[in-house]
Amino acid sequence: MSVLDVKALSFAYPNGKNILHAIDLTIAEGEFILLCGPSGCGKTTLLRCMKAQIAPVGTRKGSMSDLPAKEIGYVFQNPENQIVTDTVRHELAFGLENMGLQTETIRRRVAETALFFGIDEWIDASVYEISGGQKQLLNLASVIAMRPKLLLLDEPVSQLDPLARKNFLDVLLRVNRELGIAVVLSEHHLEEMLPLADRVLFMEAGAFHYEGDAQGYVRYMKRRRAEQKKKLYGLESGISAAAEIACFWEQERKEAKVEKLPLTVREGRQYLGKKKEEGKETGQWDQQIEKIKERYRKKESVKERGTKGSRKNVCLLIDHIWFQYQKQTPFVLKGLELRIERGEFHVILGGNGSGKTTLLSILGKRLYANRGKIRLGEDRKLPRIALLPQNPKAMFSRDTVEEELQEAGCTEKLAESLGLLQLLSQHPYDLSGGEQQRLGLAMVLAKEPDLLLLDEPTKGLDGVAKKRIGDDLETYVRQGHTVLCVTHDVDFAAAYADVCSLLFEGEILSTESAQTFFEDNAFYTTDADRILRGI
Amino acid sequence: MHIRPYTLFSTLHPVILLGYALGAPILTMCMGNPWCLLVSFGCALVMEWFYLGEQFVWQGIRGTWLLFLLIMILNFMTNHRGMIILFQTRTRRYTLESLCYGAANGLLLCAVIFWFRCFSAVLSNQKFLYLFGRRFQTAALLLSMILKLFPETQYKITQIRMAQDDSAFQEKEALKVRLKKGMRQISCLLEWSMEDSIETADSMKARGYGAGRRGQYERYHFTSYDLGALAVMLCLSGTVIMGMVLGKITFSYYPTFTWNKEMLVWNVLICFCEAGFLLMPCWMEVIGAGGRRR
Repeated sequence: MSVLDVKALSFAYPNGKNILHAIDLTIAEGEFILLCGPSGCGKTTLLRCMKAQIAPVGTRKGSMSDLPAKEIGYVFQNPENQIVTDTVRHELAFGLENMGLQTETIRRRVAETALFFGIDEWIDASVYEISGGQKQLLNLASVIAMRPKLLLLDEPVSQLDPLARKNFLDVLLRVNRELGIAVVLSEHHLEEMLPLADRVLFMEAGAFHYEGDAQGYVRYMKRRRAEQKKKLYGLESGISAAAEIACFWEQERKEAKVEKLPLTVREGRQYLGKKKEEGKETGQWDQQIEKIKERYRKKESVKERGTKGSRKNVCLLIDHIWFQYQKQTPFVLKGLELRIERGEFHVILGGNGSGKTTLLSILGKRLYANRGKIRLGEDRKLPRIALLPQNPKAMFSRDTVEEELQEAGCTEKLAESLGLLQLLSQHPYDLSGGEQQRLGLAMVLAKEPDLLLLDEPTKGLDGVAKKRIGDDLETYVRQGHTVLCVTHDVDFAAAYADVCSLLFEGEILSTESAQTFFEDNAFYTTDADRILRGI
Repeated sequence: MHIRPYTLFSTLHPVILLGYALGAPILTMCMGNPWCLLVSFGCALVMEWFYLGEQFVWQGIRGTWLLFLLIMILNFMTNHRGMIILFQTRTRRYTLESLCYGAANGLLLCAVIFWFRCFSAVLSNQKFLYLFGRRFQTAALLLSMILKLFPETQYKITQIRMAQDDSAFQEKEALKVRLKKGMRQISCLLEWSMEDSIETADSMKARGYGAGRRGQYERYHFTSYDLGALAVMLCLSGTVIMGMVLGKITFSYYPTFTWNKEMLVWNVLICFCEAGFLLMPCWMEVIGAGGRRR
């Protein structure tokens, strides 16, 4: 039995731009569907068309089975904006109140939903006291409280940090498995979701290019990348590291493609373990595995980093700074020490609330340390410093990209190198996340800072956009500037960093070259490193 | 923020809480008798300490003493009624009565301010919404949404400041330039907020807002305990009001201080009842051991 039938659905915006082309989709009862594709391919439009209340304005053709509003739940991308009321409890009740239910029914449903999601511990909190991950969980819960049959989620975890993301996806899986609610999840980091999905849909330019199970999807992506003559690995591959490695193996060995491909880290290690046994006999194992390891090798740091006290080649030397926001609250930074050298791409990794953003604010002179000093390099000259905030929207105040660039004093050459020339006439808010990030980058690069500070530049971006911004930054570093970037994004750090630091509870615990850093870490590392560890 | 958010008093029905939260300042406003005023002011300080803590009391006193002095002196300088003359210039005389009258008025205003500072501690937003939500549903939802907007906007303002303020690296700019930058930041805030509110609107529609009659989540029962508390409150405040209406505690400053000296017993009784009413959240905690006593 199907929950929703979509037949030959086409959609065009009033300006005549066709977004969807004859989409056919049948969603079975309790099915878990993963909807993927590059940004701008029409994922959001498709999801919104399936929910009548928020369907975009435009011409629609084709048919769709009729489902009452409350039977389709919808979770948006941004955790903050979709919250309506001021307390968790009221938010859970909001949808139920709209349905006009009896007070007793509303109270019971709120209670059972809160218990199912583990929200009961913070049900009396204000919505601004809870974290982003909790907010998104609340959004999911308040939709589930209305007891939908079908749940549509539009990149729900793209704004969350890795831990909150895993937590949310776990809960989502429980919703699907235990309550039997059908789920359509659009997502671009789907490595961890692939093994769980019943069906994967790959969308491009408004049509499904692939429809089937996860195994087939990996094969399809591999074929596709080969046709486009692109590397199979890296940020934009769109498949898990385990699958990448297995694909290499096959490619190198020219084995027949009959085996099941590994999707998770565990399966990846088992796969390689088996190959090792086989390889011992033929004696080609060592050579093969070296080839694979070579692909995942990080950038080698070219130069030696200076020792602790010396100011040679130093851009900024952070000397034991302490910082607290209020006398009533504990110190956020506790004797933090960091050496930023000229011409390096320095990435600081750290969890939520470890003080990443605070550190950047101090370096950007928005806040001042309570104790400690920021020392200058050998020439005792303050480098020009520019800060790109986490949300570039905070920088925009003009009507078009062109005005924005003019205001910032950005040259045409710079705009061209960041690929902004074709966007000049658009409103900054109409740009995609990646484009907004690039516009913000152009605005801060206009002053040509010696030290560029970045706060989570890859938040909410898909692999292609990440690669784009990473390449741009790498070019900037190669021109002799310094980039300091704080992020949660381990894969991004592994791909671009020269030097990595780990920030934990207000202290820098280690600063090492990227290769050493990721090789040594067992948890805070990329999937590929986890699979290849000790093999 | 509130140091005692979960008192026994807070378990009472919101109607009673509203009666107390509004009753205390209104009662104070009607007071003419200086002793009653002093009692009310003292109780206001105690309640502020009880709900908000010592720091808030000092903060409140620091915020209001100037106001108190201002009103007292203003009345002293401009009002020359009264019999006991303190000193005299050629055209004016300055009397003790006008000084005291000014002081009483100043005290009254300060007491009312203190009472309203306790208002949100006594009656939380949630309970306020419950009281008015049924009749004015849209207004109640609007209020809740506005309350959510405050911290959100604050967050956005700090983000915008962080992003656009590079004054630390530059010479101090001309006022005109700074004003222009300020305007830019405001326009940025407006644009950002409006953009976000579109998404909120979508989320509301997606959850069926505006589809029909709305239900209500909150519910409070009016039990016999509430009834008892209400009766005590009515008795206490009723006595005070009766005393005021019957003129038992009338006190006049002009032409000179006069009060009904035979009514001293009444005065004491009414002050006692007033304190009993105003300190209700406090003494309920003290004697309210509930089931422990046999």
